[in-house]
Amino acid sequence: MLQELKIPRMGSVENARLVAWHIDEGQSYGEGDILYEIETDKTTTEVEATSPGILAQRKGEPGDDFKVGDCIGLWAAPGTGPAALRKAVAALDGQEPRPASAENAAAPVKVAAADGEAVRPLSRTAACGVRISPLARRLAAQHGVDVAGIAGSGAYGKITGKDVLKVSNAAGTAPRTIAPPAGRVLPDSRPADQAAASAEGARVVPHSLRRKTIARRMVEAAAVPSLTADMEIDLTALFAHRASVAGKGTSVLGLIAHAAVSALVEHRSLNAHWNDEALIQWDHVHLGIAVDTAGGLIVPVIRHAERLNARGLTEEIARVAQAARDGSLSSADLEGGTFTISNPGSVGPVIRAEALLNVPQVALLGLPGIVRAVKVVPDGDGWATAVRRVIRPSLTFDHRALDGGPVIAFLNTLKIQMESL
Amino acid sequence: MSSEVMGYNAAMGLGLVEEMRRDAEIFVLGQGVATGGWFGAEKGLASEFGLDRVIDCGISEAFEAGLAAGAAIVGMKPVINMGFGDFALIAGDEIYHKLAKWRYMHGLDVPMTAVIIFPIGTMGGAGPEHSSCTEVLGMHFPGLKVVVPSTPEDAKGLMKAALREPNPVLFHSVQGLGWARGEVSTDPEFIVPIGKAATPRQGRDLTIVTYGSMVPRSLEAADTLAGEGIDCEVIDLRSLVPLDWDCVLESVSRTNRAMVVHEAAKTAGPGAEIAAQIQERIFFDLEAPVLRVGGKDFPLPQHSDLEAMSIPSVDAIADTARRLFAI
Amino acid sequence: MPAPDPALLEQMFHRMSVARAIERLMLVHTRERKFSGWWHPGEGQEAAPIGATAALERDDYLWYQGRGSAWAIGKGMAAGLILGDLLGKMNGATRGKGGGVPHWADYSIGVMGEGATLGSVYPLAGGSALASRIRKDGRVSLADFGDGTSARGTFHETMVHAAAWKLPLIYFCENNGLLVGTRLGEVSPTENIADFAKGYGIPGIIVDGQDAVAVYEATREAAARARRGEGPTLIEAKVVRRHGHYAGDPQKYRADDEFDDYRDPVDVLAARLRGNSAERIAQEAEAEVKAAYEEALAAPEPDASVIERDLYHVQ
Repeated sequence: MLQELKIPRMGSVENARLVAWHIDEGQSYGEGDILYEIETDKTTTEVEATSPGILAQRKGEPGDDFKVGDCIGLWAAPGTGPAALRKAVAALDGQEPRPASAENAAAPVKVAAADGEAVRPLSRTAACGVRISPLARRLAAQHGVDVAGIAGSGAYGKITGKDVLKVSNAAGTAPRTIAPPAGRVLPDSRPADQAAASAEGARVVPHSLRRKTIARRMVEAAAVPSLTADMEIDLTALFAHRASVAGKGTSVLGLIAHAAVSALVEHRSLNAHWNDEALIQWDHVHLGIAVDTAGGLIVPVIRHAERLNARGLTEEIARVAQAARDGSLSSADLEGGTFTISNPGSVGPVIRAEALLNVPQVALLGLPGIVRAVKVVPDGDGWATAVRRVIRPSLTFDHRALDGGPVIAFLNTLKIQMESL
Repeated sequence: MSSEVMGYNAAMGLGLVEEMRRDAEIFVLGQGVATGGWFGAEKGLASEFGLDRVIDCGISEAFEAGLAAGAAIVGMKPVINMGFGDFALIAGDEIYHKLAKWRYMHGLDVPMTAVIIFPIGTMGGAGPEHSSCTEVLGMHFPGLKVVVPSTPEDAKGLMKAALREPNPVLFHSVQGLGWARGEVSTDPEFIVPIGKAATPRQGRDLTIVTYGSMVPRSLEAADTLAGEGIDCEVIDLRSLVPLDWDCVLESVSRTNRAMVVHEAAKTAGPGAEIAAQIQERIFFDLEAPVLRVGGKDFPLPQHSDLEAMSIPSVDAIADTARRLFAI
Repeated sequence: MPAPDPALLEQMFHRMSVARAIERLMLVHTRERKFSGWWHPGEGQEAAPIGATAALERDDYLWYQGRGSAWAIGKGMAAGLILGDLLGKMNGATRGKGGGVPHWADYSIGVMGEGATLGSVYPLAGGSALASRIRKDGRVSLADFGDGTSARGTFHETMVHAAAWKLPLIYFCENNGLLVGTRLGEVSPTENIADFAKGYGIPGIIVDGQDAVAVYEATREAAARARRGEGPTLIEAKVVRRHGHYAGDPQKYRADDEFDDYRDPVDVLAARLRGNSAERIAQEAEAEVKAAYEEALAAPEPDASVIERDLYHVQ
């Protein structure tokens, strides 16, 4: 009756380190609930349950290393009583003989739970999975109701949504949102500090997992010896292009991103990942776009940006930004970035857009606000001044991977492209 | 706003007349339209608008539909009556390629108004090649809009909407409802927007998604079920393309049970798509699988008793609804 | 009916030369670049489209089906739109949706498009002709077709009505005597498509399809008749399909002596030009096509967003 909980495949990831468990042994969970958190060479990921169940046994502690596909724990079908669960685990550990042939399992058994409460005898169907409607499954997960104890009022004992709500109302449990996990109190939060802060009239905002991930990644990035180079780019041609028929449907960001992607195809050393053994220069450009959301910074990835034209890129940026804001990004949308554009200029008129690297990427383009500046421009044989719209992007790079030369060459290409659109 | 009681075909005709009065680019062509049409919807058109705009033609469905496409491409607004929806199959290339794809395959974003009237469904012994429900074809070939009014008022309002729509519309008039009567708004600006469903009955326990000839039957079944304590919501889709998913999903997410009812053959009928999408999109709002009630997967026999047994009855609808509570 | 004036003759020759240059270029392009699209060569068949379109007004409706590009070029379409499309680029007329079976359309110059189910434009041309009758706008609709599609039901359905209603419609047949590899005589009761006109009580004209001026004169007459309200005409241009059905067709079904009497339409028309302007015009046309080709090669490929465009029009 126990089944293995395996570490799922996540893109090209092979190694995973357990960061934290989110479910206790013996605790039941619904589909979509977060079971545990693992860290890979790319990111930290919360692994969700793909079906409801009860965690029977943990097979590792935070800090333990696993391979993808390894068994990290054992789970049992929802509705399994605590005693049955212990028995099964014990059997597995060799402490007791395996119970229950099929006939035994089918026979109604009355077992006592640890706290002495009687557990409802399980029917044959319940023993191999509770008969429950999809709606009731969702409601049970939302309200934290253990369906094992519910006598279904539907056909053949099916548990309906109403049955779950009845139990939930009686127990006074409030519904919770399954995803995203914002607001969950983390195991390492410190209630004492929080209580003190509350007493002094401050609002305590527990770190979301995303905030913690951002924090950890920022600390990692800050450890990289990085430098930032700035360049001024005249946007006159870009705005003219945008106003023309050819530029229909493009945004300024889309055009800059398109120019950056084209430049990356030419300067591949910037479109790369650093590790201690090698620099991996990618043929494709999976472009990360940093998006500011209510839940914190998130960097969705536009895959194969080099295959898109400026309009396609504009549309893709809008799509992933929207998806980031409404929380509908899939894990594939977040993986595999080879280069990142951060665009704080869209939020407010910052004058410089230096940012920390999105490791293991080796370069990041920061876009500040667009400003009008007095420029010296060619005028016949001489020079004249003109007021032009300009942007001063910052290119932050990993100095372990790159020296200044290729970075300046990249910026030059970018400048020429944008000024000759 | 004033209204008048009239029949379904007459209401459809009224919608046509009103739009022809305000738009000289509309013309009507079909077999017998100048003499009043086969079912009376075109009665009086020729005397008001003349034979230039109300045009009789020979037995040539492919020509009629192709002509509609050609005229629509050059900006006219043709209304073509296929006589029977079954006959439209003769004009498959003209309807599902030329009308549906011409702009797309030429890379053009231009208006193209055309209304092709498909009289569909059983009408009491018309036989296997005069009684089919072919509306699912319009759902499968992108580029067309598809409407199926179930009341005289919708017949008028959707005809008017179709004539103001910059895309080809397959207008399915329901033959079994040809003589149904009802209140119809006489406001010349009364329109039933394409893509908007109606909810003729509200309920809490079950959503019956239906359209066309099965709307009155579903409402009747809902009355029966109300006596048994099952409170049904009935949605009349009115348009199949675009389909009002917001209305359907909102309703089902409240009632948590759904079934689809149509006269069209059950296998690969519109209900297959509707049931599939409900389950794909709001599975965790369902208490039970989405069930379908549709016509038998056989040609429609000519004998009117056999014909009646081949399409969903009020009892069959009610029985399926009861089953939803026994799963 | 007067012959075309010298300026019109030069324009016809220019357009024919552009179409010919596209032919030459597409054959090379297909061979050298292993072109994956389709190309149905029209070399040698340019006189019929160039002559017929020269006889139409700018806003007359053209529903074409022909090989090559001469129908669209003849009606005034730019070579760049056509080459862009053949190469499936964003600067083409359809941005990757048309191409080998051409779907070039520009309603503003009466290029209404082509159906890829061959022989499908009869009722469409009937529709635009009926629209002209209702609107009394004096426009003529021309439906171009090959001899093979005279077998289609809508050939008859449309002409029955067009003749009865005296619609301003021209049926224009390019008879090259071949349905891919089948000889017309094996599947038709007559080698002359114009014979069908008798049944409809309309004129059926046979014209030398290698001579653009002869085609021009016949079409001019038919268009004038249509505009006078006298109804449709069926013109049959006897043409020669110089190449295979598609680029690369080995044509094992053709006789060795088939091209002994072949007259190239470019030579036939060049002989009618004043002085030695032919060479200059041909060079200009070639340069124009070459530039358009370079531009098409450099133009971006369509991106996925093209797929979801132009299905429905939103007001």
